[in-house]
Amino acid sequence: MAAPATQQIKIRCNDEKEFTVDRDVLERSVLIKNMLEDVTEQQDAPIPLPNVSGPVMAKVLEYCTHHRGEPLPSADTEQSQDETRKRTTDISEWDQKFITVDQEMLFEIILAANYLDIKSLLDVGCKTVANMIKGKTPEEIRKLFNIVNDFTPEEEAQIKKENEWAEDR
Amino acid sequence: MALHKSNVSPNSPILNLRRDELQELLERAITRAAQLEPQLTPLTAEYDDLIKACTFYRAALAPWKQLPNETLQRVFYFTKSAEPPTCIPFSRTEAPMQLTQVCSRWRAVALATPELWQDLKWVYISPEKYAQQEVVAFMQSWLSRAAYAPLSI
Repeated sequence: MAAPATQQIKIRCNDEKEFTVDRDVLERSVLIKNMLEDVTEQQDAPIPLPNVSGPVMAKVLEYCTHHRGEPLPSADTEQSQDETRKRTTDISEWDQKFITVDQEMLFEIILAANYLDIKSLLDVGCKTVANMIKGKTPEEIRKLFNIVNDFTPEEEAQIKKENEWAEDR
Repeated sequence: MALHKSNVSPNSPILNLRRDELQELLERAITRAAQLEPQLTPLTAEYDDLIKACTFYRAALAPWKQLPNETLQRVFYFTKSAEPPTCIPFSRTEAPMQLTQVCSRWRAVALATPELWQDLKWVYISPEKYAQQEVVAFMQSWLSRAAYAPLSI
């Protein structure tokens, strides 16, 4: 018997770029999964995704296609992962290669994962940024992410006081 | 032969130039440099301004700024090491103190993330080096940041 045809879903990004994607791939996104479950009738109109651009969606779909079929994190596993996640910044080899992008794309992927509710992708992005932060001084972090030192005089004074307890002041 | 990289006497026949010819070349170079100098000063000032503007625009466009605070907190969770951080003396290259010294927003987010402060390693402090009440005050401020998160010391 032939396997049932996979339903194809159309999505439209904020730059009018459209993608036609297998439903199980798109359902890695909890946001889209819920939207699809709410629609009872077959709908031909593309699902609008006003917060994601075409190039970013292409990357997100690359991730979702690679991880299709893997179990989605349930509320329970989320909770149990909570304790370990902050200590675990390991990223699989494929994910690492996938997330090796410029800084702008990295943060765009994180924002898209947050909006589309794709927890595993959000974690890959956040872990990558965390790994970039680890072992750097505040000055090095500012330089890396183009952050302005905008502390108020009160904050500066507080930091100076706290730094009396720093080993590497 | 590059004259400026050589200690050969300018009168040396291998250079094929007489001392007076070299002297003339030097004077021409000095005159030209003096002519260019007034043009260079405003250009240098404009260049410096442009570099400052680039820094400003880069900071304004910095991609991390788009992250909502909850996502920034998630990033911060992952900066925690497997080993609990040392409270005294703390490291400026290690979370959580590192995160509080980057900018106002990072400081506010880090201070409002109890999970960053819930575990710490106690280190023996010589009483001669630090006044006990100061140690207690610093420890108290650290622990107060943990709010209601379960502590591990």
